[in-house]
Amino acid sequence: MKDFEKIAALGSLLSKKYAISLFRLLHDYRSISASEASSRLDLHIQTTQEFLETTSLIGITEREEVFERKRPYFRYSIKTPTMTYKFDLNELIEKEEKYDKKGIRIREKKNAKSHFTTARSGDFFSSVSIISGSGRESEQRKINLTQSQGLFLFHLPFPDALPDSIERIMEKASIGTEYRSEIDNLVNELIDMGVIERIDH
Amino acid sequence: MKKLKPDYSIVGLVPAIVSFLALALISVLYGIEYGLKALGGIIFIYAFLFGMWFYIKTGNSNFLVSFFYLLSFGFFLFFVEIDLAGRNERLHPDTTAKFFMVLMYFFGLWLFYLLFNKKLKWRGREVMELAAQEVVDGENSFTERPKPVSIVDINRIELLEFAGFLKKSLIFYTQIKNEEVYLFPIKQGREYSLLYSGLDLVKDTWIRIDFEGRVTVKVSQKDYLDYKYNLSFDQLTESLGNLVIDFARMFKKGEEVRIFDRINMVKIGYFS
Repeated sequence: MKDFEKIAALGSLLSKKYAISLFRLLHDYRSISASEASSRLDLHIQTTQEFLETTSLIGITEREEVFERKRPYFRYSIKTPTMTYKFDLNELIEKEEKYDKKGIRIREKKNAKSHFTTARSGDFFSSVSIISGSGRESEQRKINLTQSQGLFLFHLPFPDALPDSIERIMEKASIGTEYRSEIDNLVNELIDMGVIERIDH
Repeated sequence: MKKLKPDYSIVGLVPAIVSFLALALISVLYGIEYGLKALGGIIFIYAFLFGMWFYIKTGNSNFLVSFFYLLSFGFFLFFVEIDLAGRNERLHPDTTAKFFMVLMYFFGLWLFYLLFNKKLKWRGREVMELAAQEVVDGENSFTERPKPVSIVDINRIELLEFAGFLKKSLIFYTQIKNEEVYLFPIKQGREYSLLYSGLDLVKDTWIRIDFEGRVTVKVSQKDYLDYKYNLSFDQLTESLGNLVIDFARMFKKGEEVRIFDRINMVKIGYFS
């Protein structure tokens, strides 16, 4: 389990109303089963079972299978009362780029079934709507754009024009390089949605 | 070879058709005398709708000739009497009717001269034909997005004067919004709907020039499909933008006559 996933799971546990009570039981008991915890706190056994199972997955508790009764069951004990997690946004984002940005050229895709809404100033787009499916099953997805994204799309080459690189389009639109990551993010999305066509060098 | 489809629209004939039908219907029901008066009333209304209104909208004073022609024609029909005696009905103009008849002939001849010289012709068709001259055929590559084309060296005052010139000359209908000028090419026969129901930035073709000289072009799907074949849409929008930029440069140099020379290179009849 990656750090981010552990933190997300821990956050979900801590947000429960009975979290402190269950953690107190784990702290006070040498080991505890789900049925013992549920009877102590008057909770449904499935609730305590899921809670304790998650604490085991994220490494807060150790889980031991016990064969005392007719059916084997698990007992949970605290591994360590102190836990430290690191949350790094850069690690959250996939290191591997979806598309190799070097050398690709893009343009609007022919018959893209997309509608661009122009901002009030008229020189960039405020949103793009993409229609998928057909007839009754068609769905419309609207993406609101930042100003730099709207400017970028405004200067995107037409379907039958020569494709251009992202850098060149940004230059034509006078968009600073500090906006590159949000432009890449949008381009990836619109390539996936069939609005932009990518042509490799 | 022309790239636009031939214009078979009868929109321009609708006023005449309506007039004829009204004349026929009222004459049958109430007699020719009432028919002529009703026709006179209709033409009186046309004088204001097609003469005065277009003059107010464009500033083109030639529309006043049309206005006075229709006005005098309407008054003539209103005042002329029918001599019902005998087997043949004949027009019997009294002095008033004769006066308006003279005015009608005078303004009629003047109007004919203006029509012959295309002084009252909307030149949208010529503009779109010129824009397509060097554009190659291609697959249908229409997109509703406007295209930023280029920058023209023109200041605010020059731009406003240029827009005024284009509107008065009926080359483009122009609108000023915020700090931008919109130029709409209007084809003959389509001026009625565009001038009365307004122009649409989504559905109509336009060229926008802002006060910094940035030129953006949008070609509507309707105008794109008015060409005989699918053209390279990117080249078409680029070409239309460059055409306007050329016009702007000529205007700045005081060479307005060259703009007309360029437009008149496209041989298109008055009613198209």
